[in-house]
Amino acid sequence: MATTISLAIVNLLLVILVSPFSEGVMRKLKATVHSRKGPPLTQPYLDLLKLLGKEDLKVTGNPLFSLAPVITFASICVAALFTPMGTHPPLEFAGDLIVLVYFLALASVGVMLGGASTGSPYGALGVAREMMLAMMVEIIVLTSLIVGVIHIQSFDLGRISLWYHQAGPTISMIIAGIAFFLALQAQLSKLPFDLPEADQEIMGGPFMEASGPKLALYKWSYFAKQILLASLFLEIFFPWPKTGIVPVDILINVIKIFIILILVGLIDAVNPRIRVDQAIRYFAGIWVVLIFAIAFALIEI
Amino acid sequence: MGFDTVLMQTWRIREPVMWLFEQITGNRKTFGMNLIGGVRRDLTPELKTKILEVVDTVEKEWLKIIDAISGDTPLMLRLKGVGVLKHDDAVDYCVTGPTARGSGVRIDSRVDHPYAAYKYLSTEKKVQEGCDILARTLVRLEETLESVRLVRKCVKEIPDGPIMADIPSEIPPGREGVKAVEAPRGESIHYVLTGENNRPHRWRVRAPSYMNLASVPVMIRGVQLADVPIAIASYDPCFSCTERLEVVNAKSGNIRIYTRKELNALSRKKRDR
Amino acid sequence: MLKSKIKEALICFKAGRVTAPFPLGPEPNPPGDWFRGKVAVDVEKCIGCGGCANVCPARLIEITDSEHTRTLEYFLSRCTYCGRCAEVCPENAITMTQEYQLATNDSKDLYIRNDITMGTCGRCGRCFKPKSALDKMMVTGFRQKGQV
Repeated sequence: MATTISLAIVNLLLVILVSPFSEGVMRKLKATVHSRKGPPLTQPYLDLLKLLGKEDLKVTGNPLFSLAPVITFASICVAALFTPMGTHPPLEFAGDLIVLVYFLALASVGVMLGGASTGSPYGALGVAREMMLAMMVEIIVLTSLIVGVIHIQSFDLGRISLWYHQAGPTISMIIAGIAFFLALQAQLSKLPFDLPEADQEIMGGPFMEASGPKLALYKWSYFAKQILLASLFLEIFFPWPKTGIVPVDILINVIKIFIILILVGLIDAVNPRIRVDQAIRYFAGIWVVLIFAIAFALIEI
Repeated sequence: MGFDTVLMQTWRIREPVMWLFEQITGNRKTFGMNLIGGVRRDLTPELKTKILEVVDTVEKEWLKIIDAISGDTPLMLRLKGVGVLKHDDAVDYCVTGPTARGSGVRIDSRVDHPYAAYKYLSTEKKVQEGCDILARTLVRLEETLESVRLVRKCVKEIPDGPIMADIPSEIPPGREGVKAVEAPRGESIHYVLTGENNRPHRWRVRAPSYMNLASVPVMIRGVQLADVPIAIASYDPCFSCTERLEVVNAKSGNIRIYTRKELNALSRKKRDR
Repeated sequence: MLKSKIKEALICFKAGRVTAPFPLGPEPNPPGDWFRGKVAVDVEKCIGCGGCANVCPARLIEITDSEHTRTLEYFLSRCTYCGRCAEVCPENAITMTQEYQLATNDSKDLYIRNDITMGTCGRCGRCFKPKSALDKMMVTGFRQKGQV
């Protein structure tokens, strides 16, 4: 019981308090690639503090407009309780892989609700793009996680991670891992796939009308998603090294998360944005690759 | 397009050129070097060596950047086949400059109507047949290298002599002058009508962006919204050069064009505030 | 494609950090002698000929004459920093300094006023600035009898 509560607190702290720091590291990396100095590493904390203190403007009477950022942020926080970050997920008795994927999808739905409820045409454009992208990418996330499920006949994320740690790399899991990594850019809304949000083309998309605390919650949920998805990727597809001691495992996981996020940041810095239809074609190609992974998993290699 | 990295790196390469301008003319952008009959300042030998050094560095780094982005698949996905302006459309809409040269129209005012020292330099016309945004970008990239070659030739072959020609101090009023020169965006035409007291009575500039802007509806017909900003940016718009203001009332359907007096009054009202 | 991305990343990392912490640090490229910054007028040397007002393209130099005084007012907020006034001045009284940080909320920083008391030549009637013109003639010498 005590371990559950402490693990839950650790997960939540990682996702809420450490995630702006990871965003600061990625921004500093992007600035280094641009040959400039960049903001200080604690800048996202100051951004969030400033936004939380601003006036809360209500653009429309639609209650969804005020609820949507809360839905997004809350679903990410709850999803963090189902994610393994170093050891087994804290609430594994309450839910497993399916619940986690549903809550991640709920976060995207929250963004879509927020963008559609204002009635602005830019919001509608952003929502359409987000929907198209989410359709392609959620399936990749689910399928690559199911490859692990096929191996041990259980949906429990902690057990998949332990099995993979002991079994060593297999072809199916490697292919699924590559597919998940390629979809990670789109899940985290980083270039070359950051179509729905923060566009010079559609002026912010679904976030255009949100200001003050609402924007802070949206941004925070995007930062938190980074830590969450990177941790999920690492625990399922790259669980080495693992000692038995829980705090050391959590620390090793954090270090690995930062390495993966630096890689994501590098890819983000050297790429232009590609269009929606080109992105859809790209992810359809990855679906085909995943079919092979599932085939290999079914024959136990 | 969100590709900030190439923007920052090309501007880093451009910065020594701006410092060089400051050393030669006294300012980075507004040179103020041309007078009627000549230029204001002369080149010293140290400046000549400095020019050649800076130009060498720019060329080296530019070639590295071209080499790096020519194999970039996401970039080519965005630029190829987008914003197409066919050859016949380019001729019909009278576009000039890199916009026209990217569609296969072989015009360049430096070669067709030579001015200044261009008759001693054999400038080449850089033309591409692609008709899309990639072709226009390639035209601009190649023209940078061509300019480097021209600058080197000028610095090496410039003869000694006076910097101002001998002109009478009183320019007779009522004379006209027309010339088409090549600006970075295309062909720019200047018309001058002299008045009394050595001041011009009328000076009219027809900027190239005025013509190139008309080709945008043809370029963006049927493309997705994501392609519109890069199509507009590909002909390098200078919106202050398009001095016609039309106000269309969508409900009643009538179009009102602001006259010169009204535009002048609008800008004076802004200045006096 | 991967090779071109690696090449791009290498170009960026080899360049290092190019931005300078100006104005908290030194300027990366201080302006040279030929930089055309703010206009400075040496009121001792100015003889009130009005050549600068004649040639200024922004027409910001205004000359008003009252009884014995010629007043030259320079409204430098309209200046385009072309430098023609400095080139044309016969006494080299106008110089272009290297100052370029000119943003201010006090319009008096960009306003120069020069009042010159003029005297009249007894022979031909033209106005001249007595103090500086007489000082100059002490150096260049008086006109000899019979010279024009």
